[in-house]
Amino acid sequence: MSAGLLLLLFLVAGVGIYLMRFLPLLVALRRRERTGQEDSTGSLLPLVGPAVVVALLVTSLFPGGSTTGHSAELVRNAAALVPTVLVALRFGNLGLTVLTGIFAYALVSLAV
Amino acid sequence: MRNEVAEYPSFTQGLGASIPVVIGYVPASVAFGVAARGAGLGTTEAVLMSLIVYSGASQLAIVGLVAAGVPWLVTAATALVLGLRHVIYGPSLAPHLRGFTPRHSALAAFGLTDEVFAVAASSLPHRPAGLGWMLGLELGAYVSWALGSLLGAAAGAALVEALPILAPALSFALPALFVALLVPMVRATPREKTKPIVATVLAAGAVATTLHLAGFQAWSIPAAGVAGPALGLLLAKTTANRGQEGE
Repeated sequence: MSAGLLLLLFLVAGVGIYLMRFLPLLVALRRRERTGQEDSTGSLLPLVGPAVVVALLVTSLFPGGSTTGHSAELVRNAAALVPTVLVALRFGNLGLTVLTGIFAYALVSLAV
Repeated sequence: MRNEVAEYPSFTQGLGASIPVVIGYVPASVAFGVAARGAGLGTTEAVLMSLIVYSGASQLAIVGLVAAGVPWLVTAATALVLGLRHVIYGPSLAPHLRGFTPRHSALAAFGLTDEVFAVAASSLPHRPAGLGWMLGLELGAYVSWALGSLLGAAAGAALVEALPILAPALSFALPALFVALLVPMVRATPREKTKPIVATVLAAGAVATTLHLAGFQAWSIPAAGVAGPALGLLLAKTTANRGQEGE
């Protein structure tokens, strides 16, 4: 692919993704401004955050999209997940939890 | 008169909130840089893609499809489908954003990635924020993503060779970040809302896993983001109705 086409590809993808981030935010803020209150989905929205984060977690644990050929990786992820969750529950510190996860995964990788 | 704007967290506090995202982004963006070079892109092209597209999943898809020689329109369409999940982020955060004009929205929307959304969604319900905090959070994430891409593209192969154990371990940074964000979200829930949150998390997890393993990766996150809360809300309403009947 030529450099020009590559740049066009980046621009189309970049602008498209930007609009998917921008337009729904703009519409939601305008609706709130117009009605002076949260819209009818207000009670649903507090649940969206945890739902999306758990979905992001799940998809990041299955990077290949399939368990076929990824069993060792799944075992490593599952084993590293245990101390990560425990540290998150005990300390609730984002940085410490991330570092624990990385360290735990490195240790598990030596064994599995 | 009290200055209400001053009560919102500042740009610097937003920058501080970006630290966990930075820890997650550096290894992920280095991995992207390495993959981009492996696919035949130059260092400048890899960094440009991170600066313009700024979406990990879409960027990795582009790298894979470019390497496979897929036409650019198909590649662009695939990247856009993968980006569909972003449409639910703005409306979810909007109730907690303060003093946002359309121009502010245009600025803040650019950096609204998965991880930025996750940090904001865990923080804003307890402490609403204005543009300053959002931009601080997003700037930290954006700079780390761009610099990590540069590092990966320019020196990633040598880095991986020098630290063979560390390289795969760093890939666990993002799952660990999501755990770190999810646990306080669930724990901070008021007692009466525990059941809906747990139902939401379980339903979203089940939907995301099923779709992801079935090969519908692009749809797994938006579907979970809709189905999970719908079930949680249904449970909350059912519980409330039972409570009224029992009175």
